[in-house]
Amino acid sequence: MSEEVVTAQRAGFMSRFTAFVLDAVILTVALRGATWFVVASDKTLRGFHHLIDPAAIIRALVPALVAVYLTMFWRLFGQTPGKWLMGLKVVRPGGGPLTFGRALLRCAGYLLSALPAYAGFIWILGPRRRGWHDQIAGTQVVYVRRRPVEGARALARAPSA
Amino acid sequence: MRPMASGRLLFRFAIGIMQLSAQRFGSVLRAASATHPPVPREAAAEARASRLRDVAIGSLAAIPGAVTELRSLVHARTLRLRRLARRYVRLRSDLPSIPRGLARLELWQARAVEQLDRLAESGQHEQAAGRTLAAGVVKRLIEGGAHEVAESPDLKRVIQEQSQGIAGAALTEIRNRSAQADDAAESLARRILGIRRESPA
Repeated sequence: MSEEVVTAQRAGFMSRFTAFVLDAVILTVALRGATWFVVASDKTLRGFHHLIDPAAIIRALVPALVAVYLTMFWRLFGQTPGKWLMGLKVVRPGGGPLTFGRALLRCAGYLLSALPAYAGFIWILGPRRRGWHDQIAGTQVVYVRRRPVEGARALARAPSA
Repeated sequence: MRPMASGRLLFRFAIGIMQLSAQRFGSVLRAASATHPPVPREAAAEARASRLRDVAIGSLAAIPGAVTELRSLVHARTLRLRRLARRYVRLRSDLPSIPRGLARLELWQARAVEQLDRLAESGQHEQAAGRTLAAGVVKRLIEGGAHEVAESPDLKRVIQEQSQGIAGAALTEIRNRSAQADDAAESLARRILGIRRESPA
């Protein structure tokens, strides 16, 4: 048995990039699946009057859906699924959880970091390991590591009969 | 239909199990005995400690043959006796008691044969019913046992803990490797850009 503990050490570029790629894969699969489902439903119901292209609506909503995904995961859990897999957590400099406003600001900061040829993300390679979006939102990404819980350790220490 | 007594059912089940075992393992045993040739007699004779056991097993194995021999011997002797008796009856046919006795003997013999036939028929029926019963019960026992094992909360807990342990170890390994890659990437960037080293925390 083990529990995940938030460390004070900031995460570096490779971990964060891998987590970003994993999130991108998850989002792509989910959105593709949703698009397929909507298009299939639309084809099935084609006998009705056809006014709109549902796939186009989903494509138009992709930025908003991505923003909702990131903001809600950061606000509720402090980590997206990709960050969870890589053992990372977004926290405030003191270590506390993000507010909704701060999470939204960080999401907007992603855009600013990406605008000048992703230069804002290169800052993560710096000694402070904080991108532009981290500095804008006042956040940091730290490592989360597993450690055995007290009961399990006590059990491990107990002499065998 | 009247329910069958437990003792009768157990007896039938025992017969069925024996027959099924003989059927299923018979081929395995034959194959095994073919691949393992019998031990030479000289070598077997040297094992004095197991001589008593060998004698007992040899006697048991000889029983069917001895019974057959005994049966044919009895048959031959009784045949001779009956011939003698018939000859005697022909000679003393005026005595009424002897033909009556012979007739009664033949009646008893016929009854005995009839009874044996009935027993044999009943035995065949018991064996067939026993095989069916044993096959069904064994199948149910195996299925029940498998279900019991599959549904065991202890087994489920052990599998879950093992799975979690393996997944957790893999995840920890990936995380540690990515942390090492972080340091390596930073070190490379520092060397390229000429940035001085500083504690990241």
